[in-house]
Amino acid sequence: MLHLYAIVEPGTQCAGLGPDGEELVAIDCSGIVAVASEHARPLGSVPTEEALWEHERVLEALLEAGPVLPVRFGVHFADREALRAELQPRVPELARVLTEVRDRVEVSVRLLARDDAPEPADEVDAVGGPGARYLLERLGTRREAERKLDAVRTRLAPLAVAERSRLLPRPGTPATAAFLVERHLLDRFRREACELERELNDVALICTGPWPPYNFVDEPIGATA
Amino acid sequence: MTAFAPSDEAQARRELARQVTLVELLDRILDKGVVISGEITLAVADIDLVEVGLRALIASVDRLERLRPENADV
Repeated sequence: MLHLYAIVEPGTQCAGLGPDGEELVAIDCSGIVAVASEHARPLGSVPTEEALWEHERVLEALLEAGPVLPVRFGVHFADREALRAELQPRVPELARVLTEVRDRVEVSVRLLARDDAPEPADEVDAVGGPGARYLLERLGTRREAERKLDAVRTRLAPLAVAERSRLLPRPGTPATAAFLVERHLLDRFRREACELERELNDVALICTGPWPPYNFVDEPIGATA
Repeated sequence: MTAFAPSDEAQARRELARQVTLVELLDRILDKGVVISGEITLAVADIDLVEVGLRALIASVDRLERLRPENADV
């Protein structure tokens, strides 16, 4: 049984990177390499916090060795033949994406509403009944979230190769964005995020990273840059 | 993996950043990455872990805010 971690380029060093000293196996798939751990029987794959961090730690260690396409947690194959059969038709696509993420990492920016932010102007009190007021409030919240997300994208997207963002249906965490950033621009990206947060007095920005490029591996990067 | 919080409220921001980092991990590792049709044996049934994480985060933000006046370091 193979527990799959990532797709990497041939020659990527993965010795000693397994969890708890477990050896990783590099499975050649004619142009790309699948990194997995091998087990005599199926793993439980219960996504405990520790198990998820173990998976992530392997990916981050691989990320230091070269470009990585992270595989989501919990993907298993019965044997190498089954894995190769799945990956073989996708080798050209995955090899191309590996090239696109080389020397680039993902940075997350999550917007959090500040509890001490000023209340938005109440412009809907005089409009219609409770249902109309509720819907107008929802609309106002969404527009405000769009405005904040636009500010983040306008400021930070120029420092990134690609960007994925989405509004969240929660007033407390109105939006999140992921940016694919050249490694050498990471410090500059952080400084811009700090500066932007100071300018946006009603929202906190929590940046995390560098992450493996989870959000940028299944679509052509050039199409959204 | 590190989190860097842009503002100065050191202690509370570090804790908040830790929790956000966990939410970001859940959001990625269970939902993003290369989609490969292997066998997936996650034992989560129909529980949305990302939603659970976000609720925990929001609750913790509220708790931090309540604790703020009592904690000179926050």
